[in-house]
Amino acid sequence: MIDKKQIEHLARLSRISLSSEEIISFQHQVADILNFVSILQKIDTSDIIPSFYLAEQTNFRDDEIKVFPDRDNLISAMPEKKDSLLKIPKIFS
Amino acid sequence: MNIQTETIFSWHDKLVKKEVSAVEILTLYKKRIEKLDKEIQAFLTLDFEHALQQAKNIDEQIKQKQEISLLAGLPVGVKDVLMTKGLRTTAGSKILDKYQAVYDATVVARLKDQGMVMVGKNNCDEFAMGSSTENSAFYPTKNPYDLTRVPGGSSGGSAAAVAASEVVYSLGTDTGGSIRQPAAFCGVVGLKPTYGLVSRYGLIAMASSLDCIGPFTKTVAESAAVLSIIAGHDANDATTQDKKIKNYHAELSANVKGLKVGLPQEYFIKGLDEKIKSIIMKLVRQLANQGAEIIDVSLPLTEYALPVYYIIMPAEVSSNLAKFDGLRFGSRGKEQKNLFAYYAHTRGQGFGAEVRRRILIGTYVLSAGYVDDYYLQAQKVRTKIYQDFTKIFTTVDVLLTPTTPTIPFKLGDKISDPLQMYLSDIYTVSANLAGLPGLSVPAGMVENLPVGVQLIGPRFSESTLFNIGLVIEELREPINQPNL
Repeated sequence: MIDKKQIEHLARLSRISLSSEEIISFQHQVADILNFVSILQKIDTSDIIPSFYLAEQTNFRDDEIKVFPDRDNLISAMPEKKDSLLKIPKIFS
Repeated sequence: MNIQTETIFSWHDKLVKKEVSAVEILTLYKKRIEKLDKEIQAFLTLDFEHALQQAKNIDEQIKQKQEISLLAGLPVGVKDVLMTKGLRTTAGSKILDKYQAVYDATVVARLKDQGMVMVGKNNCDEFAMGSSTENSAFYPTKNPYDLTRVPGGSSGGSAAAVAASEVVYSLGTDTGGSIRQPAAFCGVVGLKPTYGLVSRYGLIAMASSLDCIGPFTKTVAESAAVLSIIAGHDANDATTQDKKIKNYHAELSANVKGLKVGLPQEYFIKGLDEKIKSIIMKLVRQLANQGAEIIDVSLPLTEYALPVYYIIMPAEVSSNLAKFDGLRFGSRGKEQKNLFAYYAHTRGQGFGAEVRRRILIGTYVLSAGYVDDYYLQAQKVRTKIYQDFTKIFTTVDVLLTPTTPTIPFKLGDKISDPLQMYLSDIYTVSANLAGLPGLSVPAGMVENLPVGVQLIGPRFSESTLFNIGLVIEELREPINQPNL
């Protein structure tokens, strides 16, 4: 059973704030879901290769520089900016 | 002219014969949206201004005696997880409430090239996570057949818009059933193509090894017509296969003679509504009368598909949604005492409960100490599931199942119990895990609500699914249009 501390730890790792009520409801819901998926652990998978995705082949394109045709639009979509630079909050306090 | 029975083909015919103009068609659908969508809430954003411009362009081409494409001039809805240049694109989430897409998804660009008249963006569960469209951060969509019931999800807005004849067709996405389940609930045709057939460039990704884009239409032939345009290799999605794309609808043939149809016994057990079962079994008998060979088969790993899905999908979600930090696009939270607090606040406020829940689960199953037992084990079981399907398809051409175990449920019924909600996808999720195409076709009505039959085939067998779908459309009891 996953405990409250583990939920808080996961929330910290994934940079998500939770209210104290949410910590309790998430604890129960996440526990239920993990319990539901734990059925897989009884399946014998020795000698089985994991499938990360299912495409016959991955068609990598040549590693050539392509200029994004709409740079100004991309920059204008930034929430805060100075000239063409993205403005971010202070990193060091 | 009855807007509820028009199709891509009938409208195209009328356009070419100049019985109607593209602007007139748009006006009809616009009126319908204005009349109905306050209640149904299938749209998050409408853009009649650009739609009108598009329609005028098509009318001009017709006037100039230019040949127009089959899809030209027809009003379309696009699920709001797909990028549409210059138009608000929210993914149903507060965190992208004010975001305007800066480029078009490949599928959107391909349809625009064909003269699509895009009227707006369809509502969906937040980041496509849900089975009822109740997880939209804005409002739920309602089922056009009964406004107290859900349209299914996550592409509920796209399904409801087609069912209510607010658009001719629409685009949705399917990661675990999000096209097929709402198609079944809304009495329309929904196709999840083979993984690798349709480019996902410009799709706000949820789980990249599972996500697929496909159409909602009223009929099977229209589904084939839309697929012919959106399918095909794209340098911007490395998983798309370099294959020659068929003209799917030109190759249709309503014939099941000699076709081997498998009924996986695990899809017909406890939990399936008896009335749905009897509709499906009646269709099966009718298909047999048409010359199909019906074969009972077994997919013994079926019960493990949802558990595999609820490990792999959240793992990919936790990684894909890391980019929503509030810094580069979308909404920015208030200033905080440090960067950590800023991230946690922005993501805590910007993401709804289901999104945060899945991110936490994904983070858990990828954590040191758990990754082998959960994530890696799930990927191995996924291999076994794929092998099971591969084996089955050496003995049958196609599998036939119900699309959903139940009729559309009431709004609010499952929203507080995530696990119950997850079970809505029990029949659809395996096709995503194995990368297979799945088509949901309306099969009949139960208590005046539509139910769907699902066809699953080997990779790239879309043509076979369409052909059986056509026969089913001829054999089934009539599907009433919603009374709107």
